[in-house]
Amino acid sequence: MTITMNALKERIRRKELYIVVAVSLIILAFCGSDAATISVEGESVTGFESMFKVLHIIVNAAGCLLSMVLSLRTIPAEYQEKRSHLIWIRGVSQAGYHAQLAAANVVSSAIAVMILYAALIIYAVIQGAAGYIPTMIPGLLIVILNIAIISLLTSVLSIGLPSFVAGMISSICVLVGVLHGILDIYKNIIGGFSGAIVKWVLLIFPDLNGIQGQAAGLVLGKGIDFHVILKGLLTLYIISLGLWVFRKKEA
Amino acid sequence: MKIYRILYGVLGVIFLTGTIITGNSGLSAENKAIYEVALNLQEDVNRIGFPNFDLEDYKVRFFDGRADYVVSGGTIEKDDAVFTTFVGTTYEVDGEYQIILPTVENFSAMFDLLGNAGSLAEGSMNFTQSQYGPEEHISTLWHETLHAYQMSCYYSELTGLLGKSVGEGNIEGIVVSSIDGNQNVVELYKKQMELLHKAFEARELTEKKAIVADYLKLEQQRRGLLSEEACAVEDYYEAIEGTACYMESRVYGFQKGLDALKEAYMGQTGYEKGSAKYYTSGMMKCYLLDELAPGWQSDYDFSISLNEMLMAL
Repeated sequence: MTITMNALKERIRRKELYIVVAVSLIILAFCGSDAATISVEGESVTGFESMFKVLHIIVNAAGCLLSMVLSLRTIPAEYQEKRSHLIWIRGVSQAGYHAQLAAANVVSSAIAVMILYAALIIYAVIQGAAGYIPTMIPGLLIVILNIAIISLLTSVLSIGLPSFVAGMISSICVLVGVLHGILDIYKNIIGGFSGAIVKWVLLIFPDLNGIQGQAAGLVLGKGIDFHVILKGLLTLYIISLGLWVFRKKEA
Repeated sequence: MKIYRILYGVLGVIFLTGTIITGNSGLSAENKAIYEVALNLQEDVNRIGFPNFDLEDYKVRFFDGRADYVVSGGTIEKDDAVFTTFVGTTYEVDGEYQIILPTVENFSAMFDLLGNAGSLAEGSMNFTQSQYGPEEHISTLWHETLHAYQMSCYYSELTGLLGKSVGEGNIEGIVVSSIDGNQNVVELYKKQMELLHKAFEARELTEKKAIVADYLKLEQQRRGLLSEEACAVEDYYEAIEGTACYMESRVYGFQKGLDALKEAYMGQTGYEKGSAKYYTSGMMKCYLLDELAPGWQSDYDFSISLNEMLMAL
């Protein structure tokens, strides 16, 4: 816990969290304002529910990218700055050390997405849809599952791979994950060998869009598919095993 | 430390078990409701007049992107997908023709992705994505049911329309190369479609008949420019798809009314490349037959073209 808290303090000290969140908020504010017209099928989307769905997708995608950026350098930086030796002398295992740093990444990413979600809450109030706010809390918790998946994946990859490679893999994971729904339909349209490849790609990468969709649906009063959530939790669990599998040579 | 490891292991087992258990949730309530409503429309469909045409005679396979859910006689069974792509069609499975449809969720999502799924399914869809929902899916289900009926009861008659020289695998190619590629044919076809719409809108039967006669004259002129094969292909498409589109639109009308039917199905007046145009022209001819030869469906065995039906009036 001490390692996690220290890592969080370090994150706050470096102010990277604020900078990235500020940029995301600007994007979100623009999308929610009259300055931007989002159109679907050539028709302007103006109703709260339609607009909320669009903004929710943006928040989820921005949150996932944020969590990747926030998690990428934490573990490698510990080793580069030789702080790891201070941990070994306390008798903390390497896996435990990485787990606590990864926890710090997940928490800081969750805080970032909470700030983004706060913008959604403000948007709801402005639009006279404050009635949706109570369901936004469980909606946020579901989105945090996505954030945790990407943050933990990036953390695990950053243990064994160079930052650039880990970042690339995580970026691809975010891209495929947020486009999971579209790709799922696409694979059944194209069929054949290409469809089979897409099918395998979708099996490997987590369904971030599905989880996001459940969160948005929950906020808007629709039912929830527990299979999607449980699959997300299982994905998170499987990724967490990497903390025990990947080792740093230095230690 | 050991207790944490055990808890960690237990957590993994819980997630895995939960994922497996919830993964087999079956066909969604919305698709079940679609099938039920479609069944409840049987009496209305009976009034259209195709003899022994009954949805319950055919199994319906709802494809959810991974597996088929086969609905038949009040039971639903999960089965391997017959097609792993999204198609609305009828196909022979275990010696009988079954109806294959994507689930409404997948079909709607496909519309979201592509704007209009018509070109992917059969070229028969007349809806834009924002409109596609349960009522449209029920209509599509009846469209495919008519195909199952045609294939089960009138297969030889329908293939007879194609003649011996045209293989079933080559018919779309003939449309594109021999018909769409001939500008004189295209221009005449456009005029003919205008006449069909005009005949449909005409109030008096005598006026309708006169417009149909003009249409048939142009048809004769246009077909003079086409090969025998191309003419056979047109007859075949209009008989098989025009009637199915007619059934689909009638069912749509039962659910949403005449105005909605006209808006969804009669708006297409431009020239469509490929076979899609015959869905519309065949359907229009069926509506004209409704007025000029009421009850035509009871004797129609798909062995003659819809043009021949109009000529016989």
